[in-house]
Amino acid sequence: MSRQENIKKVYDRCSAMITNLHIKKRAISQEEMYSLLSVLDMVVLKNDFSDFIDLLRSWQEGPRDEEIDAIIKATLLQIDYTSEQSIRQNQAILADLINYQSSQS
Amino acid sequence: MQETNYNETLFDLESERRVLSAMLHSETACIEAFNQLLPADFFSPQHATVFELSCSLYEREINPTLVELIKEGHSLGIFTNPRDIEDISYIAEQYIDDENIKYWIKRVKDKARLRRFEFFLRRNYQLLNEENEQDVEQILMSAEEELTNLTALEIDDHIDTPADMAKLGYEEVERRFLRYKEIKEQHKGVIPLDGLPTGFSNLNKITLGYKPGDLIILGAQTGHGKTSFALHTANAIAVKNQSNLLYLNTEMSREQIALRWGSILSGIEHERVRSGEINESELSRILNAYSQLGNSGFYSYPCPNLTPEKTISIARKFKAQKNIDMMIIDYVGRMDKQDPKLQEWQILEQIVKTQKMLAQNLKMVVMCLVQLNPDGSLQGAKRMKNECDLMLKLSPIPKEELEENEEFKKYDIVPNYTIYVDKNRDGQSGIRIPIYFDLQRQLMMDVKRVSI
Repeated sequence: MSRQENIKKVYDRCSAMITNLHIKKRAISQEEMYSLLSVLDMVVLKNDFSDFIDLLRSWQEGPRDEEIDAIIKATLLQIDYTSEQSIRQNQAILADLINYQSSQS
Repeated sequence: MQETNYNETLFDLESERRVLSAMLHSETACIEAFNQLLPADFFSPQHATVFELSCSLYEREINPTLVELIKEGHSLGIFTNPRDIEDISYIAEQYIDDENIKYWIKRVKDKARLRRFEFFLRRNYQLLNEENEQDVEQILMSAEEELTNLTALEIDDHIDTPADMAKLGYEEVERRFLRYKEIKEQHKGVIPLDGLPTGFSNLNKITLGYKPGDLIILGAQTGHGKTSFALHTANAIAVKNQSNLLYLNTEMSREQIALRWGSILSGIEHERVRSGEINESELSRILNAYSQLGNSGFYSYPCPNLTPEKTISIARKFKAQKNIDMMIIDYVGRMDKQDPKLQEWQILEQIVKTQKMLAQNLKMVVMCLVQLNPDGSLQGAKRMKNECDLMLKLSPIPKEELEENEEFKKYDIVPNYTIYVDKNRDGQSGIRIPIYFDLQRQLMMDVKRVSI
C-alpha cells in the first residue's frame, strides 16, 4: 500500500471512529464530534495550520491542570474552523492558556 | 430491497462506490463527477444521497472530504445511526487513482443507461398486454422516438422536431420585435446588448455583445496589446458590468496582473505605479481603484503550465462555484504541448476546438488570445476561423497611414490602433474599428467621429 493510500486510510478510519464516539457510544457531544472532525481535517488535509496542531500537541505533552484543561476545551469547541480568523484569534488565547499551565507546574 | 429486484447486469455498486470515494479524496475527480453524473445515475439511493451532498458542498466551495460529508449529513439528519457511518466509511475506502476516474464514471453512466433501457422494455411490454385495440403505427413510432433518445450518448443531445424549430423561431423573432420596439420607445435608438459588453461601443453595435456559447479569438502581434485588450474586456465585464469572469494567464505573475489593474482603474501611468513613483493623493486614487476591483467579478488564475485539459477542469470548477459568464485565455500559444509530434497549427486547432465545445457545454463566453505572425497572418488561421464565432485582430495604425488617411482625422481623439472584425457569425464582418490605446495607462478607449 502506498504512503498516500495509508494516509487516506488513517484519515477515513479516524473520522468514522470520532463520529461513532458520538452516534454509537454517546461518549462525546455533537459539538465535541464536530470539533474533533475539524481538527482531523486540519492535521491531514490543511497544511496551513501546522503551528496550531503543534500547539495542541504541546498541550497534550505538557503538565495538566483540570480547570485550565476545561477552559482550553471550551475554547476549542467554540472555534469556527471554517474561518481562518477565528482559528488564529483562538490560537493566541490557547497559547496563553497553555503557557500559563506550564508556568504553574 | 430494491437491489434484489434487479438483474446484476443493471447495476454496479462497486463502480458507484469508487466514484464517490474519488470525489471525497480528490478535487479533480470531484469536478469530473460533478460535471458528468446526476444523482439518478446511481442505483443505490444511499450512493445518490452521498453524491448529492458532495455536490452541494462543492458548489459552496467546501471540499467534500469525508469529515465535511459526515458533518453535513449529520447536521441535516441524514446520517444518524452507526450503520450509516459504517457504510460511508466503507465507500470512502474504495480508493482509486485519480487518472482512472473517467473509467469508473463511464461504468456508472453505462449501467444507468441500461436501467433506462430495461425500464423502456418493461413499460412497452406492459403496454402491449394492457391494450386490446392498438394503433400499431403509433406504438412503434413512439417506441422508436423513445429509443432514439435513449441511444443518444449525452443528455444534452437533442433532436428538434419541426414543431420545436417553428416554436423556437417564432420566440426568437418575437423577442427581437419587442426589443426593437423598446429601443424605439425607451432607449431612443441605443441598442441594448444580447450578451456581455465588449468594452467598445462600435464593437457592441456590430456584435450586440459577447453571447453565451461564443468562442472569440483575438489576434495580435507580440507587444501589440493582447493582455491590455484582455484586461480592458475584463474591466468592462467584471468591474463595470459586475459579471463573473475567469482570467487565465500563462505568462504573467500575480503581482504583475495586480499592478496592471492599479493603473487601469486609477488612470495613473503603469510605469509610475510599478516603480512606486506616486504622490499621496495618487495613492488614495489607487486604493479606490483596488476597492472597485475587490468588489468586481474578476477571478484570476495565473497558470504557466496550462494545457487544454487543464482549462476544461478549471472552467468547470469556476462555473460550478462562481457561475462565471466568461473565460479569457491569455494566451493560447504558450499552452503546454501534449503531443510533440503535432505541428504548431494542429495543436492550435485542437485547442480552439476544445474551447468552442467548452463554451457551448458550459454556456459561457470563451475568449482565446493568439499571436499573429509579423505579416499579420495567423498560423492555422483558416481552421481557427471555422471554429470561432468572432475573430478580431488588434493592430497599431502605421505612422504613414495615420498621416495620409484623412479619415483618421475625423475623430475626437486621433486613433492609433484598430480592431479588425475578420469574422462575425451573427453580423457584419470585414470592418475596421479605430480605437485609442493609451499605452502608458494601459487604457483602451472608443474614439468618436466628429463632423468637421
